[in-house]
Amino acid sequence: MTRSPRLRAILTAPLLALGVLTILASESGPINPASSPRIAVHQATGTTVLALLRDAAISLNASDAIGPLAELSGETGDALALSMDGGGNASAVWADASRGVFTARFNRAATAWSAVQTLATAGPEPAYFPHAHLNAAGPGMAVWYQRTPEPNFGHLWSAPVTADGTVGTPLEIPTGGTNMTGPPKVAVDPAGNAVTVWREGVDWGDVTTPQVWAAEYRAGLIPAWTTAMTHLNASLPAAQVFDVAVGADGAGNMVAAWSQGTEVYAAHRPAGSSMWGAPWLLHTVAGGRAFGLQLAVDDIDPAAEGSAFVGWMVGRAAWAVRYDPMAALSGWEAAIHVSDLDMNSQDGPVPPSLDTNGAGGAVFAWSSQDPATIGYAIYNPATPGWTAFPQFDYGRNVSASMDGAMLGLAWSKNSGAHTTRVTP
Amino acid sequence: MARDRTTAHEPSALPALTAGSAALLLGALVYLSARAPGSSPAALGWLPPLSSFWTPLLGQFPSLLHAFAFTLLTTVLLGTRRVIFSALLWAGIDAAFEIAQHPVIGGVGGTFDPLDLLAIATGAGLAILFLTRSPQEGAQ
Repeated sequence: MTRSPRLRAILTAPLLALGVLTILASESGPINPASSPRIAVHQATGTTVLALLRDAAISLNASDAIGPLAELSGETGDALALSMDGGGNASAVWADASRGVFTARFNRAATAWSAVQTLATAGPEPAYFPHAHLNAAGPGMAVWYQRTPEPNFGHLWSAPVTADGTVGTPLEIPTGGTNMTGPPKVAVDPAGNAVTVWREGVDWGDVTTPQVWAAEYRAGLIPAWTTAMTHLNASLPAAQVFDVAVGADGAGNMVAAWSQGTEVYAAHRPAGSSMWGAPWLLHTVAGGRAFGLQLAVDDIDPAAEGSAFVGWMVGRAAWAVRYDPMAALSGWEAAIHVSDLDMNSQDGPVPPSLDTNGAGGAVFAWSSQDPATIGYAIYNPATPGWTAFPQFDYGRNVSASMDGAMLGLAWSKNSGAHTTRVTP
Repeated sequence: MARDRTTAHEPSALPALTAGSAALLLGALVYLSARAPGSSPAALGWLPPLSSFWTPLLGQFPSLLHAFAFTLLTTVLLGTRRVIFSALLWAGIDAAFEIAQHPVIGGVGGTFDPLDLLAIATGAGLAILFLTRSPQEGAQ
């Protein structure tokens, strides 16, 4: 060992510094607050829309360069939804619990975002859970939840969007009224008719009277929500309902999916009808429950019209099931374990991201609350099957969009929001 | 001529120096290979990532290597009489940075993992074993 006290003194300080520096170099830094990015791509024009909680960016070329960011609102938001129609126009809807619900529209022809429009002012009713869907044909709908004092607990609201981007007057969606309503999801058909689904219960964790409801919106001379709501899971044994989703194809057929207890269900409603079919069991989870269920329905390519995908997480595992409208029996195939979340993630998954590509394919991306390796998988109808890329990059809160052969991914990491576009 | 009492029974520094340097190099390789680029300043993505099978196994390995390597290197400087001091010093420093990652504290970026604390203790313990059981090469 070192014999010279002088040499020891000279070397000890640098050794200590080296040790601390290597610790600091090995630890991840803080995640940039530009979180929860949402991305939408339009293959025909290369238009890629990226929306963050505060900002939005547009790109009109086919390169991977996106930006610069155009700030839509100087205020913060708590949740954000983004949807793109078949022409490359997009609507961003975001909620700030204490301020209200806001929207802005990206017009592809004008290559510009509209001014921010206020859909609701929170006031004494905090706003949460915004969701939006623009049908490929253009019309769309934004929905959200506003909490109210007991005994009503909350109301669901909506705002229709016409194909030219005009936002209509907000309308309340009829619900059970006295129960706790959960986050609403909406799907719009080519004519502008819409279906909203949500869960209800006596409280958030209700396991005795959990309900999945669907309501119909009829566009027309007097657009309105009908009062004929459907209790989608009335025939099922009581079990806690977690996530609900709904989608529409290009012909106006609707599909709803939800996770209930350890099971995942779907139900169909034919175009032009208000009658929902019986729930169809898609999968029974062994050793856990389905988390963050997502549903995507193909509404672009007539050849693939009606194909749908449902995806969810079970622990670290990503699962998906495909619906083929041309198949025999129910059309729902067996659920597939697509891939796994990075084992280094500590805080579990966040709801994954799922999108169809208008040609029978889909993208499914997953990540965690905790920064870790994110992954995605692509469904190729020609193979057919999923091809997984489980260690795509490091980050969290990944968002995926696919149009034709163009895939767009957005995610948060230390240095901020990142995006990429690839053609698999 | 009086012998240096401090180092009269000191072993050669070579094994500890070699093992400490090798452990540091191995830790660097883990970051260069098994960690996704951008996951930390040290994860540069120079090498293709290992398969996900190895990722969980290597998750705590750098923490073990760090405590092991710096305990050895510090002992090389301070002498084997300060083995315990060196081990406690680096176990303490490593543990402090790990605990600082806990969300309740939020002092350092990264993710708190109790398994890292176990790895740190194991690394420091292995260093003590290495130093106290090394052959007394070069003993005067």
